[in-house]
Formats: sequence, structure tokens, C-alpha cells
Amino acid sequence: MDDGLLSKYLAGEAGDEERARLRAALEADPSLADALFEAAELEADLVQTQRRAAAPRRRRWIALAAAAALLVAAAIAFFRGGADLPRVELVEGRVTPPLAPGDRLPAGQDLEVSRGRLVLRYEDGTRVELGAGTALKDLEDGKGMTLARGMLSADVAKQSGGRAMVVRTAEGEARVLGTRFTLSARPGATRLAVEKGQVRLTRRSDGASANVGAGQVAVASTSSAPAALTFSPGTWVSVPGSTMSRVVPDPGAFPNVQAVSGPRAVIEAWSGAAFDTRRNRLVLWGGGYGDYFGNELYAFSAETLAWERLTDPSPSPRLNQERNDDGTPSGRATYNGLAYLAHADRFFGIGGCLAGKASISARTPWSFDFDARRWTPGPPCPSGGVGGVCTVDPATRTVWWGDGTGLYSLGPQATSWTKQHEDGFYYQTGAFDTKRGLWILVGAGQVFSYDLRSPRPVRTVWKTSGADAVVAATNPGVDYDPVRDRVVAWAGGPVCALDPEARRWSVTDAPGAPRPTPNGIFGRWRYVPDLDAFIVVTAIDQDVHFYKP
Amino acid sequence: MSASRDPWARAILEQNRRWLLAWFLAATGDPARAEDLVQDVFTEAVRNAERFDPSKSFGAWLRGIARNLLLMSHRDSRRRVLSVDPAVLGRLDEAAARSEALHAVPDYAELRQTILRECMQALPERSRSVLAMKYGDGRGSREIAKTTGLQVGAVDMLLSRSRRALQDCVSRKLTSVRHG
Repeated sequence: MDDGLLSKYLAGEAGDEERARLRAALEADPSLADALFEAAELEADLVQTQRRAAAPRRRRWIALAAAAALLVAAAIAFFRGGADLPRVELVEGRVTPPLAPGDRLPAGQDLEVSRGRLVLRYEDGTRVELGAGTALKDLEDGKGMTLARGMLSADVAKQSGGRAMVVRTAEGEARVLGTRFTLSARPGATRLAVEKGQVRLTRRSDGASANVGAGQVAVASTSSAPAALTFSPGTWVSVPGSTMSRVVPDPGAFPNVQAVSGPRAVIEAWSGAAFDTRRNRLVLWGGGYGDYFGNELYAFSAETLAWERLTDPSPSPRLNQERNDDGTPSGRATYNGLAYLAHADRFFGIGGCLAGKASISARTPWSFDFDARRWTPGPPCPSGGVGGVCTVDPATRTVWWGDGTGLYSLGPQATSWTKQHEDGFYYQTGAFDTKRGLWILVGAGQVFSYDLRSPRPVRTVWKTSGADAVVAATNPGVDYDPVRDRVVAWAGGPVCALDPEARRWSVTDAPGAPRPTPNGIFGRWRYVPDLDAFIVVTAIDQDVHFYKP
Repeated sequence: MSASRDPWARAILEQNRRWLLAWFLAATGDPARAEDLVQDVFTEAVRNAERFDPSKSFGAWLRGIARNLLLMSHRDSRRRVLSVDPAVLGRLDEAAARSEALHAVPDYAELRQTILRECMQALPERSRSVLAMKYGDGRGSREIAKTTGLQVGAVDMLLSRSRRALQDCVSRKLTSVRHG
């Protein structure tokens, strides 16, 4: 029998003439049906093998009479949706209860993934992945479940007979007929990101809903009804109702911190931010000098698309001093001295200009423990100062700080800073290229790099072309896009992407960009892995924007 | 525990689903319709459960239902069956009965899947990649051709040869396991 014809036939791709040929061959020699059946078995096996990683599972032989009864019972449940429960495909890390690949999960099962991930697979090929920190409650027959917290990604096979996969959270309900999506549940909000197909997200409190299609994101929260935001490549997305001014402290309650500008200086007075990858949020700290004396932290969550003020300002700030009487750091203009230390789960700040009118440089680095809500001072840097820039190498857990006096490093166990070079830094913003271990700095007319994995990093000046304006800008927004392997910069106007190999910039002038902050973007432009987009915050009275590369 | 949570009951369902799916796929050449017809068989089995004689072959009873459904489906001109020639269907029935007997052997389905995966690993990388696009992603030959830069005919040829190689490999290994 013609293999090619057989293949096309079994794939449902044979035309009338080809089917007629096959029929004629079979009817002339019915023994060919053996080969046809074998080929069909292989076809069915291939679909199954490729669609899911089959895990070993013991079967038991049962007398056929008993099998009939069991089959009938199972079939009744199956077609009523009652048997539509997954089995475990992959376990990585720590899962409660302990599970192994191949385990079939019963209705009513609760699951908790403390570390790593858990992948479940349904008979129809639907795949559900639970990330670290996820709690799933009450697995139901017929693809129903409750996401208590954390993140759930699903690739849902087309559901037949009007049945839908339903994932509930405290705030919302996602109803799915066949698509690929990620659902995240945090206190107060549920975020849905759809990669393929369409999902209906409904806020449970009032039934407000939105259809969320491919490339769109929507949030159902206690404060906002679901509305779909479209993340198309090369476009800006403005998050409606996301001004930071909604969460600034009441001036009446904190009269001593207001100074000349009030909390708008947290952004406008030469200050930056760092991205907390664990909680998926941009954390802001700023103010200082005579502009603003508050030392509070703010966070914009990429999960809930909402602001939160993480701390209150110290009500009686000490001016021109490193530390307030309550043990917290005094307010400051933070420049590019902020980082998130993922290995320690700490927000980190170094350098800057202290609150007060004496232009005193901050020398003590501080770290903030989000869980304990406590600040801790670190070993003072010999220098400090304004216009500096820091980064952390996740591989070596070393913090690097560059200011007007040189380049310094602080290892994870070190108790003091080591001066590496006399190189000066002023008004550059850095991006850490995780692929090459390069710290690439852009701004004030320069592009240069350090190989932070080398024993003694040396400055390499780059000659780049194609984006003179962003290179000339002081304190531009700069971060590394690991998906496209580009350093992406923005300082107002077009978005510029630098190819680290060719050292050429490409420029995308997309409409809808926000007004840039006059004194620089600093670290308020950051790559958000979860959304594969850049976030930027430019003013307290302007909505947060994302740029999708 | 209800039957829906009983792994044995589900295993029996799965055990019979496999050969039924191959039977319908061979008879119709339409993967989606074959899946539907398998479900229809089980629905009919549930509906007519009291008619099953426990002294008779359960598989033969299911095959009887399957054949009736196939012939009923053939009356609908939009839903084609390759051949209703009794000799052809009879031969397909025999092949299905052999497969059913093998699937009743403990762990047979898993063994078959394991062997298939081993055989796939022995294929050249390009063949594996094209098979993954075809069966994992559900892409057609044209789409695969676009992705790989091959001609459509070359994709079809590669798929056909890969399947032949897999079938030979699976048969050889299954035979050696049975005789080993």
C-alpha cells in the first residue's frame, strides 16, 4: 500500500480521488486492511505521545464482565463531565500533598506548590501549570477549580458540548472554551493574560465582565471592573486609572515631609525604582534634597495593575542625616542607586542626595525586607554621592556601584566595599545583560560596558549608531530584554533597542508614549518578564504605561 | 469512591478507547470524526447496558455497536466511510480484536508508548522535529513547509518515511518483547 497515500488518508487530508484509489485497493485485497489498521494505531499513538508526556501507570486486568459494569459507570460519569479530572504530568520542587507523575487526582483535591511547579494533564490534552507560591482548591469534575493564590497557566483543548473550563478566584471567574492563558490571583485582584483564543473574565462581586482575547490582559479587582488591555508588539499600553497620586500620604497627616514639592518629587526629583521580580511589581523610592522629605516606598503591581503604598513616611524626618530617629533611612533622591536583590529578596538603595537643603550625599546603603517591613543599613561605601548607578549580578550575588569616584563591589558575604577602578560615572543608567554577564551603561553621551564575570572588570567603550538622542540623554530608562537579546532604552520619543553583538540601535516610534520625566527616567523603565513588556512610570499624575517590544 | 474516581474503571475505558479509535480512523480517514464516533460508542454502550450478555465478549459487543454507528453515519452523505464492503470491515474487525486482546495485557498501552518514544529518539532530528509539528502542534504540511523551509512534497515525504520507520521499529520491538 502506498505509504504517502495512507498517511494523507489517516490525517484527513486525502481528496476524493485518493480515497477512491485506496478504497479500490482495499476492496480488491481486503487483507490490506491489516496494514491500514496498524497505520491507524500508530497515528493515534503519535498524537497521544506528542500531545503529552505519558507517565508510567499500572493497569490491572479485570474480567470482561466486571469491565462492562465499570465501563458503563465510568462512561456515565465521563459524559456527564464527572470523570474530567487530570493526572500529574510533572512535579518539580515542593508540592503538598506529595505527588508523582502519573497520579490521578480526585475531585475535591487541594494542591499547594511551595517551590518549583506542578503540571497537570487532562485526557483531552488540556495542560494546567501551577507556579511557585500557588494554592489550588477544590479540584472539580469537569475542569473546574479555585485558584486561591498564585499563578496558573493553562493550554486548554477545545471544549465540546458547551462545557467550559472554569477557574474561580476570590474576585473573578475565568470561563474558557479552548485557549492558552495565565491567571494570577493576589489579594484583592485577579489578572488574566490570554495568549491564544478568548476567555471571559467576570468579577464575582457584581458580575461585570470582559472578553479577553489573544495578546490582551485584564484585571478583576475590588476597585476595578475587568477591562481588556491589548499588548501588541511595538505599541504602548496605558493603564487607565493608574496614577500614583491615588496612594500618596495625606499631607494633613504628614505635614513635616511635604517640603517644596510634596510626593510628586518621589518621581520628579532625580529618583528611580527597582523591579521586584518575586512579587512582580515596580518599587519606587525617592524625593530628597529640599524637594520632599518623605521616605516611604511605593509599588505598582504588574499583577493587579494597581498601586500600593508599602510604607508610611517617617512623620518627623531628620534632615541632612543618614537615618531617622525611628531607625529608617532618611528620604533621598535615589538616582540610579536602586536594585532588587533577588537572592536575598530585598529592595536595595545606595547613594543619592539626602533630604534637607545641604546637598549631602548618602553613603550608607540600605536594604528593605518586604516581609518583615524593616530597613537595615549596610556597610558604608567610601564614596556615595549623586548621579551614581548600581546593579546586581544574579550569578555572583555581587552588588556593583559606580559614582564620580570609581567603581565598587560588595560580594554576598562581604562586610566592606572593594574599589575596583577609578572610573567615573555620572548620569548613566545601566542594564545587566544576563546572557553575556555584561553591565551595559547608556547616557550622557556614552555607551560603555563591564564584563562583571571577569576577575577584574574593565570599562569597554562602545561605539554605537542609530540612536544618538537616547545616548545623549541624561539618566535615560535602560533595561535588558532577555527574550530578544536587546538593551532597550527610552527617554521620551521613540523606543531604542541596542543589539549587543552588532552594537547598532533600532528605533520604534510608536504612538501613545507618555510624557517623559524632565530630570530623567532612571530605573522607572524596567522589563517585566511576566508580561514580556517594559513598564514605565513618569509622573504621579500620569497613568502607568507599558511598552510591548 | 465513585466510578469517575476509580482508576480501574478509567483504565478499562481507556483500554477499549484505543483500539476503537484506530478502527474508526481506519474506516473513516477523519481523526476528529473518529474521536466523536468513539464517544458515541460509549454513549450507546451506556444506553444499552442492560442488553450486554456478560457471557459474551465485551469487545465484540463494542465492535457491533461501532459498526452500526459507522453504517448509520455512512447514510449521511456528508459523512463518508472509506468502504462498507463486508470483507474490508470484517478484516478491520479482526485487526481490532487482536489489538483489543493486546490492550487487555497489563501495561501494554504504556509499553507501546514507551517503545514509540524510544523509536522516535532513534529518528534523525529533522524527522522528530517535523513529527512534533505535525502531531504535537497539529500543523498541516503547508505550515510545516513554511516553518522549515522545505517544499510541501518534501514534508509529506519526510512524514511518510518517518511513520514507516516508526511502524517498523515499533513492530520489531513489540515482537522481541513478546518473544523475549
